[in-house]
Amino acid sequence: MTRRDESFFQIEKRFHQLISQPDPVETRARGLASMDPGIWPLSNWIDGPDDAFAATRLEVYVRMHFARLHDSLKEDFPCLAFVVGAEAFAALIADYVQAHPSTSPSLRELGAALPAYLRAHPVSSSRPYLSDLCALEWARICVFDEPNLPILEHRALAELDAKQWCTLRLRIVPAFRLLKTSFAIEDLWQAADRGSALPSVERKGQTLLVWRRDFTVLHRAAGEAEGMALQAIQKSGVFTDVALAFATATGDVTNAAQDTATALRQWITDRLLLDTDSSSAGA
Amino acid sequence: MSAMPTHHHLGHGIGLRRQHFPHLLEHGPHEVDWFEIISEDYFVSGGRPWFVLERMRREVPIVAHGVALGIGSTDPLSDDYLRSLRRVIDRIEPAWVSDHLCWGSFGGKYVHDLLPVPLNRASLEHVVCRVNQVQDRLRRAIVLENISTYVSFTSSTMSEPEFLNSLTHRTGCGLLLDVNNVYVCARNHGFDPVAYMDALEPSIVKQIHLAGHTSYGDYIIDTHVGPVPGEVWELYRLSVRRFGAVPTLIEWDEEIPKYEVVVAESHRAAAIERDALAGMQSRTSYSERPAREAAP
Repeated sequence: MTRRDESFFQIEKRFHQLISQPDPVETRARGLASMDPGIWPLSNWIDGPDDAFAATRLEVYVRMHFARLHDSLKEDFPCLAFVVGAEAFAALIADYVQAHPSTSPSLRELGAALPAYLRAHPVSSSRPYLSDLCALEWARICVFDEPNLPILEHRALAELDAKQWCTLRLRIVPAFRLLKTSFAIEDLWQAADRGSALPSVERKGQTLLVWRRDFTVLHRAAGEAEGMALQAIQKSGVFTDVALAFATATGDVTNAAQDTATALRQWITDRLLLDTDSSSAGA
Repeated sequence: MSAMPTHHHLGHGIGLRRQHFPHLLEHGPHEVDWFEIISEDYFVSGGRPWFVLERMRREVPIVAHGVALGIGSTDPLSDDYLRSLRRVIDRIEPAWVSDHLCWGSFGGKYVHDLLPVPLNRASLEHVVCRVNQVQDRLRRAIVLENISTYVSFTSSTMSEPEFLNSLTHRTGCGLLLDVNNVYVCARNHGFDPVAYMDALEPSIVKQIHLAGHTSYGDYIIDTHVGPVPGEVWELYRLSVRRFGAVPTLIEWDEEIPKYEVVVAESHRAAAIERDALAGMQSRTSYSERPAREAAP
């Protein structure tokens, strides 16, 4: 890198330092001057009549930066924003984007760490269920743009003989997430989505299935047995393992095959399973 | 160096935005010549945006316009980014691929904004090198847009037209001339927007953007909100006289109105282009002729 390239690098470094924090530009520049004496006065490197002019113009970038990230996350997490309220949400997002600067060229990934970040944020202290609510919204974003692949139809299973059932390998569509929460947040999500009065939230774990039917994102609560069976599909996909998961969860070996068949019909109706040809191709 | 292909005049397009997806799925892409997509919105694998895009692609040309290539960044070019962009290109075969003369990340941290590059010999060398790398990776010439800026640097030693003329000549890339950005910068930095356009070599302009902006008194911001303001339409008329008929796109990205409203803006652009070109044919003075024809 040549000496002049270094100056180019320095300009981008200074610019980035000043606009990626919400503090007033002048305060921040003066604070950074001990490490980078060239940053202050701003008129050293920003064109204009004086430092006040340069600071005013740099503030434009600061405001746009935080507004853009706030708006993007508000769009991604509308229920969280509704539950915490506009002011608290703005403060949360300002904290979050400083703790977790975007490392992706796409804003799509910006909220990935928000559910985990919320667990330790003061906004959650009186509402510890916020992280679960946020995780549900993030799962809904994730399934929104997963690839569209052919799904398993009821008739494909009707054509299987007994031997084929034993070797059948099931695969879940990419647009699916199995979410385990510590709080029963499904009713809270529904209320926030409607914009209605918020219910109290019980500290009770839930298993939530999040998926997409055509282009509509859906979710529903599932029982423990169904959750374990879907995990068995994610792990091996072998039909007999799925039946074993039902038997383990319910303690009822006799009806495990029937439970599995009933669940399978529901999953096909929900469009949760990949076409067996796609499964083979993807294996 | 990749040679910039001569583009057919695609006509007048609008941005493909999700607010219009229901309308487009019901009625198709009527009354519009082409769509421009935000490339990064399609770095994902599927879902409704891809379904709509592939449906539209069967009927009208698509141009891929990126916001995060960071051609002026001192961060290394991202292999992941270029691979993702390549996948979009392979899947929709856009008429061309564009981004901005800017940077947007430092140390791998993205600010999701279009930030200004100092305009001098060192930055020119840097950008030339990166444009060549990108064009080699994408196996095609790219088009770069002039951005709206709110600051300039004491280390700049070149005008933006001078920088762009040199960049396009040395790399074969083209210029996406954002007429609104020229107006915004002219107001913010106190230069003459017509002189700016006159200083651009006409052959480098491959596409034009038109959009709205918002005034904050001492400065104006490129907000892409509302209809194209009168002063930008007037600059567009002058740009047609200078650069001839160039594919033109309406950008409307905030408070997006109905499809028909945005399309009506593209029709207005088409009418102004026709009027400006007809006006040139009826006059004979040198100053009224498009520079592309006047150039040796």
